[in-house]
Amino acid sequence: MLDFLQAVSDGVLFGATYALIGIGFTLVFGVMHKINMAYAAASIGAAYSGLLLLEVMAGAPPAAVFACAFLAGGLLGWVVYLACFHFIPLSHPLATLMSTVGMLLLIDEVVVHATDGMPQNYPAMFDDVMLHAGEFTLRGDLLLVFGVCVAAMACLLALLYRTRLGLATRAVSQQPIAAQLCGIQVAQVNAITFVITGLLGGLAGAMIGASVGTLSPLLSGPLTVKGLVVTVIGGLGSIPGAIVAGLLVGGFENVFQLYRGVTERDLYVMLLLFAFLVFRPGGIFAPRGGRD
Amino acid sequence: MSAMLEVRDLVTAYGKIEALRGVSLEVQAGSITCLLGPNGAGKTTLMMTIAGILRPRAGSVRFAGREIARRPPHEIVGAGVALVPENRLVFPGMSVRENLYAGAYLRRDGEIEADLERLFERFPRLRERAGQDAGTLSGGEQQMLAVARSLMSRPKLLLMDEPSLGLAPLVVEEIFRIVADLHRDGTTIFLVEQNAHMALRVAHHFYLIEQGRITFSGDPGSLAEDEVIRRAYLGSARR
Repeated sequence: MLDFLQAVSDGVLFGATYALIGIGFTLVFGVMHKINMAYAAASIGAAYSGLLLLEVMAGAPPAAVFACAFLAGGLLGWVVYLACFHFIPLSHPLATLMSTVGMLLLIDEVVVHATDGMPQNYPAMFDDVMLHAGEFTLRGDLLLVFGVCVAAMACLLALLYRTRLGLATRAVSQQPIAAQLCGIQVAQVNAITFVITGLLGGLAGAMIGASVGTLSPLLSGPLTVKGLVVTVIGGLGSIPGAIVAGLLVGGFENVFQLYRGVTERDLYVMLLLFAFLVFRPGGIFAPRGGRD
Repeated sequence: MSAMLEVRDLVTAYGKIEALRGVSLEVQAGSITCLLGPNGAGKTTLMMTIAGILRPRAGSVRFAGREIARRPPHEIVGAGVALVPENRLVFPGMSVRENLYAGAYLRRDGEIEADLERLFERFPRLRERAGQDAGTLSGGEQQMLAVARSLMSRPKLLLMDEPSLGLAPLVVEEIFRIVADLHRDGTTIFLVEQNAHMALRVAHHFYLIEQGRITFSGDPGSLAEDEVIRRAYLGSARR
């Protein structure tokens, strides 16, 4: 029983990173009704660029590495927008899907070439801190990952619901023609959405690197799938859905990792997705007031 | 009176299909001008082209002497032209108040709150529902919200695309009362309407559009005289 609780709590804490990745997919989908397949790869890529800082400045503190990953994520988000969306006819349903898949492969290849395909150590946030409650343990680094992700989500929600930019973003996602009639520039909002989701992705990538301890380009494939699973389970376009589903998937997979081992783990995540697609295809929170 | 809006030989196409095939018309400053026409004649296309959502293939649109054709929508709103779109297109998941703030998106002046208050005076129902999601409003309330939202940009010219569409007769009465009120307060109005009876009571000038071309232009008197229009839009009854 204790093992079970331990697995759930570790999984839920780590699941906050899935929630961030899910938010990135869902936000872009909400605003543009497009899937950005390059998102998880760009997030991992951004985490890698945090390591670049250690190259130039050996001994840089972990916080600086994370900040670097965060900013690189925003920059990459903008690059992905320009390369895969801005000049491509959005009316064609498959065009941006293909351009973002291409970008996913490109980012992975760049990382493989830059690192000779070797996994890289990622700095931990601090030396191991464990909080004990009887035999139950909370990993300090996972708690911090959770805290950082929750803070990032809170900032995002404040941005969306308390600022002029957030108003414009929600307007574009709910009714793009009316948004234009109000004087909101849709292309600008789209670009900013990519930068914001990129920042979140860079942060998520760095948090994953820090809590796993290493980064490998092999991460981006599974993370893409997890992000999409979280998005579907949460309900396409729903931010609260992505948060809940991220934590759910994190806890769920860790329980199965405990009982069935890491090799079978993702199988059960896929079964969870299957169950949702059959019994609740709209996800936990079907978004209200989206397009059509 | 001078022309506030001048449309010349406007052509707008969807692919190879020309929805507007050389439309020319004028809206005089301080007037209510009404565009009649059957479904598919190009009424909404014309409104969307003037508002900058659609790019015309040829022709010109001049507003207060300035060319606005092919300008992006935010510049056109900024110049003082606002469109109340067909089917209202409110932001369903945003509160009534947020919808109104969205209408004032381009404004940077300090009078937004005062304007909001004035609109709440004009539309008391919106004040009652200020915190409610716009998607939960009735059709008539959504129409009022759509009108109020476009007024938040302080337009000089208000374009209205079938504001009475799908509304109950009493609500239609109310919408037309609002149109008359707005006009009295100095807003120039260019209205698309199928309900010719109602339009006859408020409008000063009429155009008829058919298959992408203007086929009639005249004042209410000559509209009521026109045999074809009378049969198609006013029924046979003649007052």
